[in-house]
Amino acid sequence: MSAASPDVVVVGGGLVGCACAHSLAKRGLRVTLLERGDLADGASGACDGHVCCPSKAPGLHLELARRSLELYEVLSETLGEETGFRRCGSWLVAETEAEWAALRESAVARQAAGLSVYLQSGDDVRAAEPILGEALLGGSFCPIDGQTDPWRTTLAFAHAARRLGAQLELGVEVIGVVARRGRVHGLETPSGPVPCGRVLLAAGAWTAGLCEGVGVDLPLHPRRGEILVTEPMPPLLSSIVLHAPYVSAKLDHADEARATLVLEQTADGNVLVGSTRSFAGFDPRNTPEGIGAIASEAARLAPKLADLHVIRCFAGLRPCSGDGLPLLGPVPGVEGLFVATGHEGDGVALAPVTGELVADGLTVHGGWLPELLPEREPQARHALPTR
Amino acid sequence: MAEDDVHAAIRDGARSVRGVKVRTHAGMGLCQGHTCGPLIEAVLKRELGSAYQPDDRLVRGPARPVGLGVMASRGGALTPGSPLPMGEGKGVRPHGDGKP
Repeated sequence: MSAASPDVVVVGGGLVGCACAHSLAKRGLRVTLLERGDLADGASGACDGHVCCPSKAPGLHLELARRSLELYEVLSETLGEETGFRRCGSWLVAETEAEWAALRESAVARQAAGLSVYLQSGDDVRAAEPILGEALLGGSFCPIDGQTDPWRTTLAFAHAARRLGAQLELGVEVIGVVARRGRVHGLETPSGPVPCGRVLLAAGAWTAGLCEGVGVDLPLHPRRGEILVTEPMPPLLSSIVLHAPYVSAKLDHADEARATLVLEQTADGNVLVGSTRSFAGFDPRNTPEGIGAIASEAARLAPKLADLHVIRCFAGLRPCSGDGLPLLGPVPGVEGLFVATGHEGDGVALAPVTGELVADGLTVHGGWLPELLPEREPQARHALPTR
Repeated sequence: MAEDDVHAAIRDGARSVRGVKVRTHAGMGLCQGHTCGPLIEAVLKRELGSAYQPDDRLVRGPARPVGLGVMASRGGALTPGSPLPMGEGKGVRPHGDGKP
């Protein structure tokens, strides 16, 4: 460990942890980041790169996404390293009359909130994205949305944090939080204790386990998302595409077997075809059911994809808070302990704004947003499986 | 990619083949690291000695490219250990992305 005692220790070298480390270092704090494996080893290394606004509920969630998008627009310049972000626009597409009616309603609500969203017919959708099939009745297009490269973005945040003086300690596992008389004193690692009065846990779905060690039951569950990767192709998709039920599936915790189609083409040309949401503990394996369900959705809604080869499957464990919003702020009962997790599938989209909010929270008195505090009203959450 | 790229990844903290993959995108082409994986592993072992970390991560399928349409129709049957018979799976001819 470095000699000078840090102001904050961040636990977790994923996109959220690295974004927080960068923001805190930028505010002049001495930051040490501990990561048990390597950068982007967890969900940040097993996800898509959507930065999508209309999938967020009007209100705070949508505002967070819009702020994050603003930060993404200039992030490569801010960090001095290419993140892979590009503004490509997004389609939310509807297949059934019920989906189309709900999508029209949601587009109106988002327009009312000031978001640019345009309703288009099925023919318009197919004209814009010829890979999409006849089954679609229509869609809504949001021109400001984008996609980023989660790996490059994580690395760019980490490198920028390091240039600002943050210590990045990779391969250092945190065994537990050291707390005495309701106050954090540091962290326990296999090579000894790391003393620190302020600790930010940004360890994704694994954050709950670290909180358990100090007697705090964080409302957080790993939720597995599976994704297929096709062979690299010439440009097939100009925007990111989400089947409309993807949005409602997030808060539907019962429908385990279902896959909802989400598509993007990476800079390398591979098409990422997702995705599922299932509660399977910390099991990161792909499943025949998940793979089959994703491929079936893709073949039905974008039949031309059936001709592509799948070269890889992967799955990531998203940290699910239950109500669709991240958990950001102090952990009740343990002074000096903070969390930044619970983003579920929004970790990529919301990482830049999360870094900003965490830096506000830790450097400005009363800086945390009450709606995101870990102890916020539990009745707002939907039923979650018991741990 | 060149061996220098592996050295740069090591300087950035990579200790495993996956660490090199995240930093260089090696192993993301059509053969999914079957060719470059062992070469990168050799460089890592030579440069890092005991600090080299073997990947204990899952082996992800498919073992070879499979048509998405075939996955759609037979997804449930594509369990580990029951690969598709050779020659199945229609599809456009894959082309490489110029990466190892």
